Amino acid sequence: MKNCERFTDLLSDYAENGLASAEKRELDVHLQQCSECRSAADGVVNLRYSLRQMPALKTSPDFETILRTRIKMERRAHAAPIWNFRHLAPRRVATLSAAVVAIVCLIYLWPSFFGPTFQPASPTIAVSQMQAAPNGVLLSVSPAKILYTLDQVTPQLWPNFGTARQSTGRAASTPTDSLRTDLPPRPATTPVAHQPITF
Amino acid sequence: MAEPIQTPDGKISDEDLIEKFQRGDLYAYELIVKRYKDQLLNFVYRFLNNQEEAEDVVQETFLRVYRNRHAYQRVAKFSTWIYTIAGNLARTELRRRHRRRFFSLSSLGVEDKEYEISDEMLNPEQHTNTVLSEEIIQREINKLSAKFREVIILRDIQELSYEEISKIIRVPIGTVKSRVNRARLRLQGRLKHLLDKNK
Repeated sequence: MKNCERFTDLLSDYAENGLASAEKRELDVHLQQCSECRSAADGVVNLRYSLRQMPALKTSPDFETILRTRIKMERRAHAAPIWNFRHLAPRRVATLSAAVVAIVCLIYLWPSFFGPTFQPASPTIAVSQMQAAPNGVLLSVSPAKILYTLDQVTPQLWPNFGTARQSTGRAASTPTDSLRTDLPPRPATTPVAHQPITF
Repeated sequence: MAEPIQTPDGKISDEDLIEKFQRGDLYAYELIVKRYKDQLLNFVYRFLNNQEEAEDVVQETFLRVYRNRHAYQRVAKFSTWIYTIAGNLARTELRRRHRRRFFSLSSLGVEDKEYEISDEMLNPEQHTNTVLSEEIIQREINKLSAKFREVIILRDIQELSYEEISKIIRVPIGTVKSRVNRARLRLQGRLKHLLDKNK
């Protein structure tokens, strides 16, 4: 019985002449001795023959006409919306989606990758640092070392800015005035109201 | 561009036809339909045992080929691809049919279930002509489970290679061989009386 199970596993290959010669010889010997397996082997061979003899069906005469009509209807249905991606291959849709996502991410993460590439939105004022000689002669002006946003320019930071242009006296209202030792100490000034800066 | 490969009988290969169709040649699609419609109908009909449903499934298969033509890549044989589509649709139809039958039977009373005709009522000895033999074989094929039915149709009626079947149903070749063997043994056991007579 154990042998029968082993040999029935080989019956399909036997019917298709797909057994190695040693296996085939072994099976032939078994089939001579076992009527049940011999009957099964004959059955499989006959079955294959009968299945091959089954008549082939043909599609109905209007099969292609119906198919053409269905395709026409489908093309009409799919022609309208531009956002319909069904006509695209899945790989193309995936590539397009990936590209869109990548562009959105790039735009969103641009500043963090490359640092700010343009000036901050708030307006700034460039304040020149002035180097003055002890006698009061202005030696040099190094431009734009300090950047203040306009919000930061308060009367305390640069108290006489607004008045300096209006006064006819010397320009003693720069931030470096405190370096000048030849000037008499500045009297305590009353805070000047913040005036609009004009250039 | 590579020259179209011709089959031994002088026909252009399926793979070249689908490539032409992918480039917009509708005549190539028509040739594919003509080449495969009867083959697929036989496969699906033996699977479903209903010609009308089988034609619907084959129509749907060709529609899917039309719709998803760009999904096909030349790495696989075209026949494998189209059989896979048809097999999947046939299995879906079979499941749908089982659901329908389940719901229609569950809605009947106990006495109503007597309408089911027992297979034992059909005595195969009484039928000797080929048409009836074919009907009996078909009936027995339909009693096999879907996984056995599919492989025996593809192997013994469609005469595809084990390798092709393995790719179509996406299981290893060893499993395909084992299923074919078991399906043949079951079928020959049930049709023994008929097969002995046809010897």
